[in-house]
Amino acid sequence: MHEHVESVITQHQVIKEKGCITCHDPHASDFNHQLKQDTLNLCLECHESIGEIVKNALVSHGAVAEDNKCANCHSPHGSDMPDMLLDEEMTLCLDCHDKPMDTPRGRIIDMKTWIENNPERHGPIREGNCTLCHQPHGSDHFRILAYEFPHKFYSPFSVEAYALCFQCHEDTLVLDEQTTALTDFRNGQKNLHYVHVNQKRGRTCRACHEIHAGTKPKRMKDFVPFGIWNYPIGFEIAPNGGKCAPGCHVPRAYDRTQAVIQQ
Amino acid sequence: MRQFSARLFSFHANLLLLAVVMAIPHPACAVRNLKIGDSLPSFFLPRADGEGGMYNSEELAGQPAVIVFCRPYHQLSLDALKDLEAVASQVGLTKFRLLAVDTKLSTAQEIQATFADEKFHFPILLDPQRTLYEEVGLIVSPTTLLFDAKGGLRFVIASHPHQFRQEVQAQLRFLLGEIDEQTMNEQVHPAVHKIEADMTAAWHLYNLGKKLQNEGKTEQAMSTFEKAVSRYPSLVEGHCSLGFLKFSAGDLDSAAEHFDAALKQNPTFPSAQLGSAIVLARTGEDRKAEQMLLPLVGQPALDGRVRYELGRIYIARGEREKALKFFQDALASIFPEPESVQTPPLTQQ
Repeated sequence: MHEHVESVITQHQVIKEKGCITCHDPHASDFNHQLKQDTLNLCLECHESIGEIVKNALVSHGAVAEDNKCANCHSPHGSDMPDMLLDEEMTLCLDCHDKPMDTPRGRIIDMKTWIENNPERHGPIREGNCTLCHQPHGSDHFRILAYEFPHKFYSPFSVEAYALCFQCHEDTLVLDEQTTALTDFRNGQKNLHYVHVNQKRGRTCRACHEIHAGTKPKRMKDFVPFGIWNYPIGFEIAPNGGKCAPGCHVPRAYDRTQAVIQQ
Repeated sequence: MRQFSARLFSFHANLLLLAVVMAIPHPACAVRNLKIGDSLPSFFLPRADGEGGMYNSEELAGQPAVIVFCRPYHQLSLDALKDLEAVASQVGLTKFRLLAVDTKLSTAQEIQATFADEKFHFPILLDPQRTLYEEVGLIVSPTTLLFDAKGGLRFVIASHPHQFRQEVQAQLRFLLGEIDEQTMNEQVHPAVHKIEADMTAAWHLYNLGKKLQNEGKTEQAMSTFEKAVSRYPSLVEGHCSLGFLKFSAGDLDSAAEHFDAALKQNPTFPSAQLGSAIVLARTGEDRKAEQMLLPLVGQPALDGRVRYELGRIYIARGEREKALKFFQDALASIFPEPESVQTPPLTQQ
């Protein structure tokens, strides 16, 4: 154990500073590994801010509450990963999210297979950085998202409602009616993200885009579920624009260099 | 051995590919209008960091350059700028050019107010018409571009991932010629390469274990295999070898555990399937064993044992003819005769 702790890249400082008996009872205990307490309570004694998140979260993460709790993801003695994770972040997440899961708030898909089968990946997925969007200890937002994001098809637009996306994307992507810089989704200078999203009944990002990974450019969906129907989107990209033939409206094309006049 | 070497090579290749894919974001996705090798569009932009005046892109010539597009009052941008300041301090700001460009149409006053508490030793520029923004085709803020001394784009980092600082530092040192590409990858993803070192050591132990086993030194072989799987728990071959040794020693439970461990890593690994089936057959689960064994018939190097095990199952069921056929085929598989030599069937009267 000493050799392991010395050799890892990220060491649990409490071992060096306070020793093994901080967490373990050397004589006997009612808990696995002779821990002094249940894993979760033991860790949260020191990691108070995490404890606040875990205890107050409206949406909890099963990995925190079940089985080995904190040790499902973290190595308590030390590891070669940042934050003493057991493995690279996305590899760790997909170790569990490699099968569909039914939750009280709906089904979570087999994310591992989904990502493997869909080569057009969102930036955080390419970086293996799930926690850019998800709060693994628990959150107040659906799917343990770290910030606000609309979970319905339609949503009145506000910058606050899309706080998750605007962590990275410019809010002017949706705020500016006219642009040449912010997006390729424009007809001349007319910003089509503004047209679609910045409404009282705005279409949320998920109406058209796959959030994690897709097969089409810009991760455009093949179809969008709407009630009991699946509306095809029929997106085609072109050198200076593209076109959509969704179930929502008549087929429309857009061109950045020469605005298409819609009939 | 060749098969193992090929697997080892393939695993190394995949691991290196993973490290490369994760270290180098796909440029066509991270920014819209530049790809690796492209030059930075020329620009002439006002400074917002209190120095005043304009900054000409020609000042970047001749040295590697790091340009971060960021916005004020934005935590990820601030984290990126702090990391870049730290990298500049470590690497030496005289060796490369570092500058930040605002993406938010901010004023100089807003920039100075935002970063009043920070000590950044690099220029912060405004892009008041978003011309550079548009030419680069930014998608997110922050976005960090690294250019080599000739002005060619080499790396793009979108947002502020966990490994941002070590990634920028390693890539910059690579561009400065201080480290090679392999070292850069090891520094960007040290854990990936440490895992690789563990795997290599485990394979050495496994090979030693096989040598000891071939020499009849069973106990030493077992101990060596145990060290191998302890060093690298995903070593399927190690688990299989241990499984068969444990079985030979009469420890069916332990054998089953190792075969299960192997199958968990690779559910279609033939040796592990065979071992698992053998244990099942010995513990009374002959139907399950039969289901696992039948697809393995004809499997190179295992065929003889597979047929033998099936023969045992059928004999136990009283299916004598079937069992004898499998036993005969097992012997033929283990001791092949030349085609010209006829082998009499065991069932001949």
